[in-house]
Amino acid sequence: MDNNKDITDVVQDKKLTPQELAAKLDAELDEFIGGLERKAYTEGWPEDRWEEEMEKHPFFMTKAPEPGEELSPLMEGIQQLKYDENENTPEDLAIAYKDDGNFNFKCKKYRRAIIAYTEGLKKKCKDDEINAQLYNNRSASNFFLENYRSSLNDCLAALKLKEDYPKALNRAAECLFHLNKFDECIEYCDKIIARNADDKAITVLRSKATTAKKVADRDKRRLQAAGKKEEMQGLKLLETVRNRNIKFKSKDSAALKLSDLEPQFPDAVRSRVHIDENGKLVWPVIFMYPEYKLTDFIQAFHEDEIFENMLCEVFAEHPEWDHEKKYVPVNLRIYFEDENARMHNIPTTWTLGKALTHSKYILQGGTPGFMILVSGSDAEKLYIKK
Amino acid sequence: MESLEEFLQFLTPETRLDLKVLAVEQVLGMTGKEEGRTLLHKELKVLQHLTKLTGDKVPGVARDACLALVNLSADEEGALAILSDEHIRSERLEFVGQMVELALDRESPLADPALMVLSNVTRPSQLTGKVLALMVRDDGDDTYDETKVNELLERLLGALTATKYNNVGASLHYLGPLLSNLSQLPIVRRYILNHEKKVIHRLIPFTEYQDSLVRRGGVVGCLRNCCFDLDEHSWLLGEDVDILPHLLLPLAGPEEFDDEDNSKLPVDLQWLPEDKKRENDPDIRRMLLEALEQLCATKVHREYMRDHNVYIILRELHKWEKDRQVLLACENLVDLLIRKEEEIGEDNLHSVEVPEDLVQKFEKMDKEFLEDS
Repeated sequence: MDNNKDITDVVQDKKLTPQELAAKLDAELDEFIGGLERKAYTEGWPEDRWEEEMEKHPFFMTKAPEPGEELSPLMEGIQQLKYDENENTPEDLAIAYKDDGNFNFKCKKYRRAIIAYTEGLKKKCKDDEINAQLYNNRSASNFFLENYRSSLNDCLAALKLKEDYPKALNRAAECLFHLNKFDECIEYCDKIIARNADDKAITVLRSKATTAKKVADRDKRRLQAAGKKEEMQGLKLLETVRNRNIKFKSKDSAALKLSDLEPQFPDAVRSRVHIDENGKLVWPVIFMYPEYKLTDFIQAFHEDEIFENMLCEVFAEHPEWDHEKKYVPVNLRIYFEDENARMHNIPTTWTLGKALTHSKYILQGGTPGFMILVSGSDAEKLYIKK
Repeated sequence: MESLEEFLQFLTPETRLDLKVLAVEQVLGMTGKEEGRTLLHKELKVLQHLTKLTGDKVPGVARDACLALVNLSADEEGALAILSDEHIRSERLEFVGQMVELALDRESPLADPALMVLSNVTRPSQLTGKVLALMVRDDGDDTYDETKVNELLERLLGALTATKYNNVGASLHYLGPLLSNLSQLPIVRRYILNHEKKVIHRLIPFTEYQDSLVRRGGVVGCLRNCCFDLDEHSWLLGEDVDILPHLLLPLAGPEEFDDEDNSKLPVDLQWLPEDKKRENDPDIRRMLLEALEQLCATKVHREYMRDHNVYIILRELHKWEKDRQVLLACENLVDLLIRKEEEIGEDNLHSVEVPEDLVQKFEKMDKEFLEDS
């Protein structure tokens, strides 16, 4: 009797329509859920911060973590797995760092890319192809940072490992151009053109390097010509001064040198004695006024000019410091001090040239100096008697 | 005559070594004298024998055979005799082909004498085309397969501009004169003046090549020939080629110019140092001037020359120059530059028709000038 009942039930189920079967299953599920014990939702993402949490998840993040930014435990674990030396061969590690570098390069984060490529090179894997790529890619990163010297060095390292490496060759040529090494740039361009005569970019670069080299060579020649001209002028100046039989106070007492003619006084620097178009000397000269402890700097005093004229020019108007208004050209007297500290008078009717050849005059600091005092003044009495 | 034929029979690779050496030495000795060369040119088999012997396995025999060919082809009469139709075509083909082979084989110690032979036989203008046809093994005497010609020229250019082409010490300097001779032909100039191939860019630095007067002179001759193509002047003087400084720099000396004059010169000639030396070969100086004269054919390029202060270089050259032919070429060029365009009156000097009596008069004046030296 029981057997008959079971058979009947089975047959009955198979006769259900699809709709009826679906309804039956739904009812059974509802019954099951209703039977579960109820408990609170915990440990999941908060509803208001789900997007932020999603961003951190390694499977869904849209940008690489910033340095110092805390890594999620999962991301940290994946990184350790990727870079763990116990889990990977040096070649695998080098490739992992290369891929990391390439990712950063695409994101234009060139400094981070360089760090990654450098880490890859440190693995010292045995595969020259991988190492050449690491050097080449690091050179590209350096290039975009305008570190042309480092970029060039990386190109050369890549080429040492892989001789026929068009990307590295091309970049080496570009770097040499930016470093103003035009001869070497042209040399590399010729190597590249020898392999691929249709390389238009390299042809243009070679042309630019040729032009830049011509200009650089011309500028060097111009500097040399200017330097030589200056040297000739210096020699001529020395000869002219030497012919005047002027005595100089010099450190080593040897032959007169250009350095003996360089002005030592602050005001006179860059106003060295020079030769005019008639072969005459024009000197920077210091007038000293010991009564008031002041000086005047005369930038160009022609050796054939007499002191009287220069005094008239300098004292055309009373200087501020001349409170008593007694520094009038006709009242002024000119003195210099010899090497024994004795004072000598120079008549105002003398030329500068004549004064400089006075048997007691010693020229020092490349700048003739003279004291100016009022005739008969107390100051004159004081200084002359000393 | 009997003695000549007696040892000519020993000019074969199969001859016993000592007899072969003596025979080729004898022939080489004969080629050193004019009467010897005249006699040998009448012996048609000599060319065939010597050509074969340049490939002899005994180095001394091969060298002497090649040197004999250099001597036999040295004057125009000899070159014409060697390549006359009295020699059957296959012999001429073998002769020229062997010279090209020796010249461009990187391991050939005979590259230099082979190039001398090729230079000698391409120098007469009536032979240049024929020899080129033989070099590329074309059937016609005056028509060429341009592809074959370009391939040959590319090989010659590659060897000419290589830092070191031959591996056993040959210098290949005579590639210069060979190229100069070949550039008499329009098909060769078309190759050199092809804007895309950039052949001329590889040639112009040789105007300052110091290691060989022969190589340098050959390239200058080639460049001068290229300057006869009026339609190419704008490209030659333009910034792509910029031929002017390469023709002018060898003519510039150590003279000083003021800043204003210096600034107008081509960059390469500005502020030259006091140890600058001029090209010391008069023939090369003359060819440079002739090239510049060709470039002055049209008004626009004469103006270009004036703008670049070419005159002051020529002025100083003229003061320094001693060779009469160079002085004449210099004066012809100066004449074009210092006269105002209104005085010249012609836009294109190539198309001016000069009356025959004036041509004769000018030639007479030139001749008298040269005879005054």
